[in-house]
Amino acid sequence: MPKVFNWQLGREMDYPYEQALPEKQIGMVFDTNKCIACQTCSMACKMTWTSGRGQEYMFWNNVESKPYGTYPTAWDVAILEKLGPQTWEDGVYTGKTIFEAADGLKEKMLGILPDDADWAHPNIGEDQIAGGSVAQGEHLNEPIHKFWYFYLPRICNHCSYPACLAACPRKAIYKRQEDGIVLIDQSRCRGYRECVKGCPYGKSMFRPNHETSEKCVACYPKVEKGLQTQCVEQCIGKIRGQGWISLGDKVREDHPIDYLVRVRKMAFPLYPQLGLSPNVYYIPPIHVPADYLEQMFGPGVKEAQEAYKNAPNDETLRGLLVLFGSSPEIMERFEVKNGVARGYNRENKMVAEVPITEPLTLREAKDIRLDVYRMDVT
Amino acid sequence: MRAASLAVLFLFLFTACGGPATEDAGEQAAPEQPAAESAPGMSNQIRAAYRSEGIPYDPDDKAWKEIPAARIPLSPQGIIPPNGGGSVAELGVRAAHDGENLAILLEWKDKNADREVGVATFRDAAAVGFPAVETDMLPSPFMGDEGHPVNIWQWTADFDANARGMSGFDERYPHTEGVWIFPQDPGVTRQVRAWRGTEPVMEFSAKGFGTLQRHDSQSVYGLSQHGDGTWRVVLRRQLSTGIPEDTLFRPGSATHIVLAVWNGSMNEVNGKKSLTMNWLPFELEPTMVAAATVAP
Repeated sequence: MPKVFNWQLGREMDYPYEQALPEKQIGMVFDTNKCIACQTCSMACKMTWTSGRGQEYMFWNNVESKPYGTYPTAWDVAILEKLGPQTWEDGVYTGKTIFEAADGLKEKMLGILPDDADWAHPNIGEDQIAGGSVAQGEHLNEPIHKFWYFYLPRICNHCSYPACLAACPRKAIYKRQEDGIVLIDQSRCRGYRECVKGCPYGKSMFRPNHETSEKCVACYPKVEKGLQTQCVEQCIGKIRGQGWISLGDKVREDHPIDYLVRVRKMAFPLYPQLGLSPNVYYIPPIHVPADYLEQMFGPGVKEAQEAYKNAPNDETLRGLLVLFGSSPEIMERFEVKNGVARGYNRENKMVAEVPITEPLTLREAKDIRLDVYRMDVT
Repeated sequence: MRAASLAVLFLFLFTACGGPATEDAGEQAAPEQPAAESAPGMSNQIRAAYRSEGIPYDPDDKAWKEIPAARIPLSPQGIIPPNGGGSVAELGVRAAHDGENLAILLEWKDKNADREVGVATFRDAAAVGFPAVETDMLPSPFMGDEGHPVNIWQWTADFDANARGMSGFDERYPHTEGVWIFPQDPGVTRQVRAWRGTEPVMEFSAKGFGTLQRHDSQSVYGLSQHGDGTWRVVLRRQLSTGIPEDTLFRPGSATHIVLAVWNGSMNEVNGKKSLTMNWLPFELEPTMVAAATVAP
């Protein structure tokens, strides 16, 4: 198998194809601290792309509660169990990826084909706490978070080394050179479901009445116009930022995604140990035990949690986070100056200007002109 | 390259083991063919019998009984991942032509008729392949190679079910009232259906594993029956279609055939199949063979 460099693992790894990185790679950052699982992203995606017969079960975007939520059922625990315990040493992954752990003859990577029932419970485990049993007590009687859960919004990761692409025996899946979006060519797909089995994130889905597999298309018609995807734009919690991620050594400090992922190292890929180099990055929740999060996001979580907690003293970080969800356009550059964050589109035109702290106006409790008392004075 | 050298190896083994006779020998042996009728199952030679009265198309047609069956052993696919298959060990093949049309009857044991395609269920299928064009060298028996395309006809049980209005989709996935379906969706599905056609057989060209390319013009028809734990599938096509990608069959001459079967309930799909490991001679009796036999 050819060797490719996976920066998330800090080493070379086996992949069925030669390294061929795109000119630009779509990248997103999701701030899990702000997600409230309102599922607006899921609905925005569903209404846009999967409201057809045969697509009823499909959520290209879903939000699951962690640790117990999974869609398709047990997708992550099942593949982790199949892979077995693995190791990191000094930020370098010393374990095996799903490509390296496969026997190579029978299958190109470890994979699991979810059954009908596995797709039938998108809300399984919702809001279930981890950390013990409450048993009618324990209401904040300790200063630290003993019990926890958090929401994990998920879409296709448009991986640098997609397993779906590698799994397809017909080369029906391709990664676009211009933006790194991974697509299934519907005219070549024959519905073998190798990609459904191969994608460890469970983001390739089979449409039985068309006998082809489908997946998140990263709203490519919008991205081509410089617009953010539906799930990013419609997010009412403003937890999502979309742009490009630099995969090489050169990193742009003034780019929102690069800044969070590569410069500050505050946002992490989901299960990087699987070896796909996924390009949706998560700011880890600050209230969740780091050992759990390290299994999910790789090393460096603790530092990121500390940095996030320090956001009130970190103007650039705060500024960048308020830019999330402030424009329908993809922001390719940002700057934070004098308490104001500004975002610029691909033509370097300012598309968002947001004060980090909203100006506060206090009004008199009574409106003398109308002779009424105000319900809201701010 | 590896496939090509394997092909040579298998061809050698096949001949060495007293496999099918050469073209010439086959033609000389033509008059003896009726003798084989009484003992079908003993032959692994596929020969399309000439029937001036027309070819049988229905798998239940009694005329098939008059045509000797070749019993072809199948092996699991173990060359490229995902490999697998092997749940069908043997395929019975009968063939007939009437100078205009060719019909091939495939029979194999399979307890369950897997007609339904669900999210994680697979359909039964069978395919035959012929060298698309005559060249000095045979294509790789594994779906051909660059420069040596193979003409493939694949019958699938789900298309068959669709053609008969037996699709299990609505039963397995009943439409839930209140689930909003976007208004253009039936149109999209119709488009997909139109693309794949109404016949249970699809015709393809291939130049190696993973290169299956559907022909724009489809000319193969199929009928099937499942009963007594056996699939019986008839594939029918004109000897000559005038389409360059389609194999041209000439009465009185021989080409080659490869065969494959998928068992849906064993999750066989794609490379997970039972197949012939080499090209088998496929002969068409001359149109006048009956008269010639009678004359002496």
